[in-house]
Amino acid sequence: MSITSRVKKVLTGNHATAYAVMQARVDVIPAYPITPQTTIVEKLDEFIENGLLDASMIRVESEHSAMAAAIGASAAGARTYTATSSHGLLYMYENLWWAANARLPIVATFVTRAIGPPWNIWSDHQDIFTLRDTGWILFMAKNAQEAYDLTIQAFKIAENPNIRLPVGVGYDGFYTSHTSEPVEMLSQDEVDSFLPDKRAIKPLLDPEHPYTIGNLPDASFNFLIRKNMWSSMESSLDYIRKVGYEYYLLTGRNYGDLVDKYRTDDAETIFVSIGAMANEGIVAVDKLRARGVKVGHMALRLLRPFPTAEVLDVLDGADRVIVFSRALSMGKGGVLFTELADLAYRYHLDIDVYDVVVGLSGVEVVDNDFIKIFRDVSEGVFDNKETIFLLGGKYV
Amino acid sequence: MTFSMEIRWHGRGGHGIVSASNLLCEMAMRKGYYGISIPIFGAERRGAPTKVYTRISSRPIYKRSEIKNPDMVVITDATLLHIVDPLNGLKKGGYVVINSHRLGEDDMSLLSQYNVIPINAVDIALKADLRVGGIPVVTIPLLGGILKVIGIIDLDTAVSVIREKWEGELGEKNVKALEMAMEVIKA
Repeated sequence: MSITSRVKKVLTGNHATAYAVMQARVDVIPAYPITPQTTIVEKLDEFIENGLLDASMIRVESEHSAMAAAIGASAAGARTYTATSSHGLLYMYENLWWAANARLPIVATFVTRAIGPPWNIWSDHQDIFTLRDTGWILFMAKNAQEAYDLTIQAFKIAENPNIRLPVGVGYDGFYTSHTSEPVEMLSQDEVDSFLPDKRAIKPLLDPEHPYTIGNLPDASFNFLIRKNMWSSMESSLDYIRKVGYEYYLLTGRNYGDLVDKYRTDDAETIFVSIGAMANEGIVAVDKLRARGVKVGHMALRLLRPFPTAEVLDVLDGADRVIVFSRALSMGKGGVLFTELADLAYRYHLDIDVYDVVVGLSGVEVVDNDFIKIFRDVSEGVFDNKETIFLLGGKYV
Repeated sequence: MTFSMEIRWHGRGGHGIVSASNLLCEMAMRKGYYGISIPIFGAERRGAPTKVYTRISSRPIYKRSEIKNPDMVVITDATLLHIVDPLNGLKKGGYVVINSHRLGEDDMSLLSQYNVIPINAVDIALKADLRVGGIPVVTIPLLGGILKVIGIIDLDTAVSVIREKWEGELGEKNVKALEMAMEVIKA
């Protein structure tokens, strides 16, 4: 079905993403299947078979090759998309760095899944956080609607000539990838006019002007490549906001604020989380508010570049932040915790930041987990020097 | 008036409870309700016990975690009563929509404290000639039972969603199975 007018359908996160990619009229999709990513690419294959999408699906023999082919296609100026998860992401890893350093505007979906052994197909965020320092712009959606919306925006952000960085949209395996919920899709005309002309992508490879890339340069040249990426990352924040507000005007769904705020205005305690568990955090906030407790929830929808100004704005007036990480840095703590603790130090915030690790390996995170931690932190059971592990409602 | 219902489906791989749950959400959405359908995946294979959760509400739904205390359970195969404890956590006076094919006398005593809607889904599916790979599709007749209980989705809406999902003859067989189930429950 070609989408001639706005339509609301019950879709999984993966199918919502596939529709967004189809509507973005991508040229090349090199992909290798892995649970829970598979149904995105299967759906795209179906769109191509049915003549709804004029793209080349490159069936590669591994994820390493998938990203290598994506690099080639994007370097030639094609609008390029791929998707992976977990071990697939790790197998792709060196080429993910290559794509970033070569400033290729590839868009990818990372359906988060734990890393084995032992074998595990369920969601945690360990895989996507391995991309933290690469130079990929990274989003994390909390539901299928956000997966759709952010995928559309991702192409526009990646292809901006002043940014030229790959963009990844993450969301949780199964909790979002395979859960079905109402998704409003834009009409094809709306997507066409929202996105830039894909022919405007300046190819890295130009047969008229041949040159080598990836050669062995002077070390300081490499240093400057990374420093220039940093500058583009920093300045991309303004453009990501602009795209988000433009999308807000079009749809009524606000992405310009960069963080997803829920009842944070007068909150004394702020829960921070990302992805599917943010939904449970929101339910917990409603339950605690009903008892008169001033709490709010902030989902970090944009992980890189880090939206410092927006986060500081949310934290203003709060005296406690409880950070829920679904990924663990061994020997250090929750991966998301350090992101917030660093701000407290740099900006001299008079605020306590608590480090909670939950949901590793796909263990379910529920509203009561947020409520239990809130209660125990309030009663002084923990101080903010320790990393707290909560599994199935029990401390471990 | 706020409406909210939590449904837990117990089936076997191949019964199509994921599709049926998605269909129910699509129907609820057409009537202005919110719906979310959450399948639980493990090592899927045909015939193995499977589970899906459906939440329907007049308000936006955030929760996508396990339903521990459902208002309704749907059981596609009565033998599951003795295998996976599908009644676990079901609210007092909650609804059990169950395929009565192979439902024994002893089983009925297990269900006595609940509102039971037994539907011979195998019989109905066979009469409607609704089969996939030779296997009768039991979820559509059971969906008739669910619609009857929740009351927010009229037959016309249900039928139009089914016809969009399956065009032609297959769609009509699904419609027939749904209508037959709703007739049986009316009687």
